[in-house]
Amino acid sequence: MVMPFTPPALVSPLSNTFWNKPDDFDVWRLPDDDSVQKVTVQKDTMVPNAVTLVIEREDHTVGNLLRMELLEDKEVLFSGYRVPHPLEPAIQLKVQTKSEDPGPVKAVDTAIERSVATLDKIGEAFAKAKARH
Amino acid sequence: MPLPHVSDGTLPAHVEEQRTRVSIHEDAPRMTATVEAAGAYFASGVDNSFSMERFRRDLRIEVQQLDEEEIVFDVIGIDAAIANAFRRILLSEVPAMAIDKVFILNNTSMTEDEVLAHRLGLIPIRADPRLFRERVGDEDPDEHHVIAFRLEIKCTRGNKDDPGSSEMVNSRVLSSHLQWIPQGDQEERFREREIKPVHDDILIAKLRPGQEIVLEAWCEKGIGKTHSKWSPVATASYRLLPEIRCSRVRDHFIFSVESTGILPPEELFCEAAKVLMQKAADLAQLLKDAVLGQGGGADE
Repeated sequence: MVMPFTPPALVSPLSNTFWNKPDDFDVWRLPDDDSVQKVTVQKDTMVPNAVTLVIEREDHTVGNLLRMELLEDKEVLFSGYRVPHPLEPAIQLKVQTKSEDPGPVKAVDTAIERSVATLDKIGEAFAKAKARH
Repeated sequence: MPLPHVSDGTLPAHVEEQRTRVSIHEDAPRMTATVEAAGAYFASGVDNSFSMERFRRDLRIEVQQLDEEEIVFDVIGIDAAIANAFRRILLSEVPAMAIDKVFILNNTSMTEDEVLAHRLGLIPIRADPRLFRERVGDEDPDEHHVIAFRLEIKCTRGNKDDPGSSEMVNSRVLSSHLQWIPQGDQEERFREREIKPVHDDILIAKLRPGQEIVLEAWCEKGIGKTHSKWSPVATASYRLLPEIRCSRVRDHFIFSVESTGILPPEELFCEAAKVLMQKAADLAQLLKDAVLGQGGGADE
């Protein structure tokens, strides 16, 4: 008996219905409806002075930079980041400090401030180098 | 027994070597990871933490080579994480303009509609992306979001008197055939620097006599993360300064940025710095919000 031919389901190249690749825009832009928080802070219950930050819609660019800035801080005991799943556009940043004050959130704050200052200086130095050339 | 390097404020020579150099061996480079931890050399009495004063003193940037398309410059005194963040942002987060929506009115060429649209998307468009806005969601497009192009071309036999002649007119559809249709005040705004493809000789499709293409293309602002057609660079890379004795200087980055021609290469690095600073500033604010939102803060 000849099996009746069933045509394959039509899939528009723009639709993500049939595969799990996230939408190109959703990878870096937060949804307009505030359903996703950019940053969430989870306090670590097992380790003292430790938090896990979940940063949405960021990747190694910011994750590795923050990890480095945090490690260079004397008050920081541990810092590391990971991308829990390659298809989910979020990173986890774990920070533990030596003491309660400055705590891990303050440490991240300092790290961000410091990287802004660093980048500012790099921008300035680059402008000077350009003018010299 | 004398312990020469204990707590005298300096590192033993072999540790100093490991801290500042990546060593190259016949199979692979070794000691590639930067020692970042502030207390890494605590036992030797050396403070490895970040110091803004030291950074400001030691940072050096030298432009080695600069032309219309490429810049090569040295950045000395930064960490690999920063250099890599710059490289990643140049590739995927500095905005550019690229054709995104193509309305095909007629296409009798051998090139399929979707292939044609894809090829159009990859053409670098000479328009300053800083003068445009990104279209968010269902926002109505206007002259601040969209650059419109029209392509109308038909291939004909060149010599009517000689039917056997193989001469053809318009057998090659080139990027120069894209006609910019100024919208709103665009003509006024871009009088100084007309909007057009960066290169005039990019082959889009080939036609035979009788075949024609009529289409309208919309150019929008986007970033390389969405699709690499929005990447403003052809390449952006860095390498570590090599030394004759088979090692690399760990904090000496030789950057090379090759622009697609949309923005001058020397401006791309500044744009990347701006993107990264904006990211950091946003994060700082959002972190504050997140902590406040949890009633007081995780530290207290």
